[in-house]
Amino acid sequence: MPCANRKIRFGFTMIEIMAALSLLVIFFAASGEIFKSTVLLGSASQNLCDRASQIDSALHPLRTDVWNCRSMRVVDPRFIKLSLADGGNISWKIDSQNCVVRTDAAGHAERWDAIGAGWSFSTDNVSLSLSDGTPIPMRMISQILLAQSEQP
Amino acid sequence: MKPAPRRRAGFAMITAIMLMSLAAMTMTLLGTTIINQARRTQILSEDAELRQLLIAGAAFAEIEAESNSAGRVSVPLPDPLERNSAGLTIEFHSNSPTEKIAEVEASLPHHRLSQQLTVSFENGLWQLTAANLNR
Repeated sequence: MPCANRKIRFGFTMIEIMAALSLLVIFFAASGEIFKSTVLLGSASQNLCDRASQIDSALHPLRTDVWNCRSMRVVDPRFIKLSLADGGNISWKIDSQNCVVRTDAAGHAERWDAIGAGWSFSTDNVSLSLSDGTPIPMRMISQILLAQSEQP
Repeated sequence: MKPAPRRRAGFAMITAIMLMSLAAMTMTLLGTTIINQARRTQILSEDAELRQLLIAGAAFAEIEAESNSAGRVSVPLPDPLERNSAGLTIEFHSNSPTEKIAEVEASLPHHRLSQQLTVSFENGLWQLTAANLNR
């Protein structure tokens, strides 16, 4: 005869507990990875935007200087001197800390920190090529030198 | 009486919502980065195209300086550029008989770039002596 006062116990079997724990471990591992990716991606995206805007802010005056220059001389691959149409001289240098430094005729220097890693200058007497180590360098034309080269 | 079965879906649901939120955040960040880079690439590409137009404008300005033009001149462009609503105009101002200032403006539907050229009469011909790029 079955025992009348047998207790009904609510609980989990060992298999249920193990399955739940395994699922928890999988969930936590997945959420940890996604969280890590989110943080890394956010940081990388911010760095990329900052670097791109820093490079753009340095390239804009460089392009403007080259556009209006009468002559350009590459002193070494990381140092160029430009003579502008108004007679002023501008130099652009990438220093040992990879800072890009523009110095105008009055000696006023403008710096862009740590963007010039691997950068080098070269010229074909009409344009300035700026290489950052990638196969295709960035070419900046001098409008005046180009016009002179096309004259008979 | 048999007790009603208890639902224990709370924890799983919170975990699922958390995972989906993180995934959504990652996707949003990735999307924003891609869109920003694509926009930057498009702006740089349009900038390069406008500079090409300015170079053409400078060559045209030198020729026009010889023919003693004054006022605003619209430079005819090839059909593919016309179809893209590109424009190139040159406005001459005469400083002296031997010097002219030409304002060259290149435009695309959402972007424009201009330069100020100084064309001087030297050694028997009109030559470009200064070119200031404006934004």
